[in-house]
Amino acid sequence: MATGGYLVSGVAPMRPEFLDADFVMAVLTLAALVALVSVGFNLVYGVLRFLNLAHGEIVVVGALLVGKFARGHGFAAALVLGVLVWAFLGVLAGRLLFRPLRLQPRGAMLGTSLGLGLLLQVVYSSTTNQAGISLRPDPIVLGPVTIAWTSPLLTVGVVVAVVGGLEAWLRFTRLGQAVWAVAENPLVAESWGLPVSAVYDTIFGLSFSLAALAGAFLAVNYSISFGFAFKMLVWSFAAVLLGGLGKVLGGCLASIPIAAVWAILGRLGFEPYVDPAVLLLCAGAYVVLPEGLLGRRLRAI
Amino acid sequence: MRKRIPIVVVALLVGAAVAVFLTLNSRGAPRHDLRAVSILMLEGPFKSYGDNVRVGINLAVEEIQQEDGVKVEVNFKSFDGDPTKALDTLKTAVGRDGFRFVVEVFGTAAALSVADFVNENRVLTISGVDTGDQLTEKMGRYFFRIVPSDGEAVQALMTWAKELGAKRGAVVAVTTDWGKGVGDMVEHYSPRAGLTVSRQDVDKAHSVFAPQVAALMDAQADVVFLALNPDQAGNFVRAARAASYRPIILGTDNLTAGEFTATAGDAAEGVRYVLPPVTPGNPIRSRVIKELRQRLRLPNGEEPHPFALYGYDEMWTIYQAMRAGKGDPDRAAQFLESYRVEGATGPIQFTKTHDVVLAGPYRRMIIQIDKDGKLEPAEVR
Repeated sequence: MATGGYLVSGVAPMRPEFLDADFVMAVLTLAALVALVSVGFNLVYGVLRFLNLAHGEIVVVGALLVGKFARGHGFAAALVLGVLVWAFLGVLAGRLLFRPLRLQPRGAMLGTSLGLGLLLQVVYSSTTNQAGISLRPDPIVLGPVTIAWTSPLLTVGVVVAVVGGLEAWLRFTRLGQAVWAVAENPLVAESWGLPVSAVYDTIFGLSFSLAALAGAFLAVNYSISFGFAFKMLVWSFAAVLLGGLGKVLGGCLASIPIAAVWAILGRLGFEPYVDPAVLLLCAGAYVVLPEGLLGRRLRAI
Repeated sequence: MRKRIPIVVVALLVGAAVAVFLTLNSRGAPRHDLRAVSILMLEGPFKSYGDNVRVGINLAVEEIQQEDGVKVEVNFKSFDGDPTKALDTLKTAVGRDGFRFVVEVFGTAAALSVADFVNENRVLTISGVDTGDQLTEKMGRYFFRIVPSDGEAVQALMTWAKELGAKRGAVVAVTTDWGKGVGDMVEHYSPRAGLTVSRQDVDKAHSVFAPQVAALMDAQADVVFLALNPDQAGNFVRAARAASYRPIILGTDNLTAGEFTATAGDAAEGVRYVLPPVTPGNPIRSRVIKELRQRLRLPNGEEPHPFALYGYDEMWTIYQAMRAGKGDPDRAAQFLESYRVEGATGPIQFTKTHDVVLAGPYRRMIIQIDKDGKLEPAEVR
């Protein structure tokens, strides 16, 4: 009888080292995905100064969209298509739901984001019966080289490339510079003739597209559900606090100690205490380093 | 004129009373009493479970109408899994809408939350999905379940683990009432099987199991009991496979859900679980499976989820009780205490604590990859 390699009897292989390569790669994969979620979350906060409480749902429904496209296309094509479509819908959501409220008290946008989250939950449950989304794409075959989509190197590589590209875009392009200016003071930026509308569209498009990308990789590596997405959002929020509110690169770097806390506590059998521990760590760090890990070296966007 | 008004009013009142009396009589007492409420998760991430139970209940309702010519009204209520909401929903159904019979309150946590209320208010309740061991003590006079408790399943798993030569065990349990219950049962019964067991608790949103896998490898656990939600269990076996960790992996009906194999992929191969016994060659089961397969649009050969079968059986059971008790929950409960029938899920008969009598040894299942590359459970004999 086939047993899929699981033991019929005997002792499981022992791995006494606390830091073996597989474990470290698992930690880095999670850190990369927390970073990707936190970047999209942080972009919106950085420019519009409100916490988008629907970001977890945006991640899940983004993954659902990629999964739907993957039925008719290869996974790579579905990923690109899903990210683009979600970016377009992000622009629409920004224009219709959030931009009209930008001069209102921040609570208005916060409340709207809650409503958007509920709407996306309804969209999800009317689209699928599954409790979570799991994507199992065929590996990428490049001549003699085969790369699994679950490869930690691929996940980390994609995240590094995306975040690096985003950072470069923010620093070295005209629209990227305009994002800094709008983040500093939108009214002054508008009076200077900077393309404020284009900045808002871009930020929402980017936030949604990064969420779809993160959701797809989460669904490939694990499975993504609203519960897990909320957990990721809590960790992302912690990364944003630890890295410095509005600082993209700081948030990414902060995801590494957060994933390390998760890994160490989980391994010691304290997994249910990870969330409070992460938030306590960040609250403590916020008191000691209110500007975040990168201090004042980076400007807020 | 002054004296006429009261006479007219009295005449109208008498007329109204007669009309009400005639209306009630024309409906007939049995029809009025054949109403039940069902509290399921019909929205959100656990919608598929609720849908399966509902399809089973609806099939039984249709059969009851065809066979006995009786229309049973089942009012489906949805809740999001929060036990306090299940209790609120039930209170409204009983207090405002007058329901006295409940065919399913979904989930052990919800069942524990409503148990005192159904007993204090004499509301006859039947469950086919609530397996939590803690429920046995709470069911009281008015709560029955047709599905065996987790304690039975865990004992069956322990026997199997022992036969497979396991020495060091571990349980990975989700911190819900159900998961805690199974985890406690594993710890309780493991000494009898000669197993030393360590425990890893995770919350219900946990999906990334690399730390738990590493901890179990450190502990050299050669058998792992999964008291996790299906998608979590899938993520666990994937993480184990990624770390080249190959213990014996055991579970219960949590591993029957599509979410488990969808999440685990090929890593599910070799995973074992146990299911409650069925009577071999049971014609009711074959017929009901065929009907449910059509309604659930399942391909030939694929079995409907056990919850659909339990939904079917619990509806027939509560109908028999309602009819025998003529709408009175006390008489209906009394009837069920001596009830014995062959259902689609197997023989249904209740113990003194209102658990179902176990009809035989648990079935042992192992997930295999068939010749088409599809994951299929096979019974181990």
